[in-house]
Amino acid sequence: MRLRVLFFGILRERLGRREDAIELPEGARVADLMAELAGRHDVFQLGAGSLRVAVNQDYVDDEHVLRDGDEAAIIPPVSGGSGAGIQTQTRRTRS
Amino acid sequence: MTLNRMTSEAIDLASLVEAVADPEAGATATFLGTTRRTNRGRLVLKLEYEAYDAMALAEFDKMTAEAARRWEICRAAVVHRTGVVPLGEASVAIAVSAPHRAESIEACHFLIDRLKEVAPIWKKEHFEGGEVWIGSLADCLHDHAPGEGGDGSSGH
Repeated sequence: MRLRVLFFGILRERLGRREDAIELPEGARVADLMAELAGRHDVFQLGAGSLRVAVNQDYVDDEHVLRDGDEAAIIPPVSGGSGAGIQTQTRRTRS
Repeated sequence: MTLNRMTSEAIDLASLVEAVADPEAGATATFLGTTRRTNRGRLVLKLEYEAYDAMALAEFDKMTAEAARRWEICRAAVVHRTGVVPLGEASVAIAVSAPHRAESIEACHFLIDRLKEVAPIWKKEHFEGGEVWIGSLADCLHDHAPGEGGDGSSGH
């Protein structure tokens, strides 16, 4: 199956592009997509604990099963608004 | 119909307040987040926002629907700006009208907290001497910001 994978913020900047088309076997899960990405670029290994994934504009977990034609967005730590960030759903490597 | 939106233009709070006007409202709470001049000792030149627009809007709609379930409110509107937001200008504005003040204030507080947690929006701080994406990933990736780098922000 073929996925459209979107990159934002620091990921977009480091990769130098906004999206990729990625082929995965039928039945692949989000974890498989992340493993595929990690194999392609260091940025996904380094940031693995901090990245969330949205499929078709909804946050999903690693076990979510992907389907042909899905739009998967790799979401670095969000920082909307103007105040201090809230880090409730992302892991931090320092306190 | 949703009053929420993403914009690349300057935010006009007065029009947002107008948008949530309601004959049953006795209170309207507003929140405005603006670009602050200093952040973690850095002299901020400007902030630059990027968003996954369609999903950000979907998340805004979920947030305002949840606020309407949890508090007795009339209307709520959330607007976020993308692109460069100069010093002193607003990146985000929220307005909530309600019959009574406590509900409008609490719902408004909830909305800005939830936005910062879930909305797929990212800011890059341009400061004197460099730039950094705000968020912990920047730390992992050894971005060249002085001090702690990532997690702070330049706002209210």
